Amino acid sequence: MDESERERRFAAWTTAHAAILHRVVNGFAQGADRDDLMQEILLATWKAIPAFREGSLPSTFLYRVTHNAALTWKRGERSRRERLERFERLSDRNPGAAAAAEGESVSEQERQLRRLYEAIRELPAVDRSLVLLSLDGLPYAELAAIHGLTASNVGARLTRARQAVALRLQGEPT
Amino acid sequence: MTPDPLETLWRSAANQPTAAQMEIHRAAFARAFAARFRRFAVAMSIAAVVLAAATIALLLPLLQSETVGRAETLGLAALLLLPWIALTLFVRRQLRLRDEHPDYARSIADGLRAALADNHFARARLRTIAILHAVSLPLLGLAVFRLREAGRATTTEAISLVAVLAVLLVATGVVLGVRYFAHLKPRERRLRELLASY
Repeated sequence: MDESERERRFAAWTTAHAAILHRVVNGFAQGADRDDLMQEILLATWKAIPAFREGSLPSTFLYRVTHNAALTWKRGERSRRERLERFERLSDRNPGAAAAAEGESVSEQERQLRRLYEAIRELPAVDRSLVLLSLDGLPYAELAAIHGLTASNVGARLTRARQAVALRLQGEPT
Repeated sequence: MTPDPLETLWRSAANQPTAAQMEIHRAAFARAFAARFRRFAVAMSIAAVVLAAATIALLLPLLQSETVGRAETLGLAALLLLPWIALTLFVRRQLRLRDEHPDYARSIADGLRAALADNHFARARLRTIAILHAVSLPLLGLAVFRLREAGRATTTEAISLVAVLAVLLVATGVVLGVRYFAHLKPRERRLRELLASY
């Protein structure tokens, strides 16, 4: 695959499936770490493009790449200072994101989403990934194939994980 | 909150990144990616220039000397070739690593197992190199001592040689140690933790 085709796919996928990246990042990281994880996921996507098999769905492929990267991502790999500097640079150009990160929520829906992500982040890493994938509407069989679990195991784990999320949400003041 | 409102919330516009946000992330990625490659190219160029200067500085007097035999010159040339081979292998490996990724045809759990096996081999390789280093240090000292005994090197030359080689070996040892304890061991722990949760 030549570089121009790789660049074209990278731009197309990260535009068309930006929500996948955004949700994985928020499900696994918070604050300045989100930017670090996003960069890690973009790097994993860039590296993975030549491995994409024609005929399969880019979204399915991206789920594998992003969840794999997020699960193996090591928080704090780069220095905290470097992350903060980059986050500040990004925040300068994106005031809405900075406000959200600092807790200046603009709507009830955004507050609920933030609480949901907090509840998801409290789950064990694999369950977190399963919940994120199921909320995106992937069937159990696909979740099982992505993670290498049986469909029944996925079902049992998801039931427990979603109950934990619901409990956490119910237990919090609105 | 029941699952339905949860899914409605999940699919809402508030849970979508804006095009501008993604553009900022892509631009940051492109900058970081280019900077990383630039830093690598500069570092390797400096290493090549330093190596070339050292090679010329060591080889030129020998070539001009009439007292040094052809066999000795060839022997030194072969020795000087070693760092060049090491540099070439290092650059090739780094370029290969730049595009290395897990096998996405496999499940994440299988990928983690494969990564753990790779980690195990990498650590075993580093341990072997570390043992060879530890063994080579006294051997080098002995070799230099024999050279001095045979009158092929003065005491000052012998001390300089031992000092330079020792510094090189210790520096390599530190690099190996950092890779082992700061990179490979924490990654092994992380992979084991993840696999345990499956």
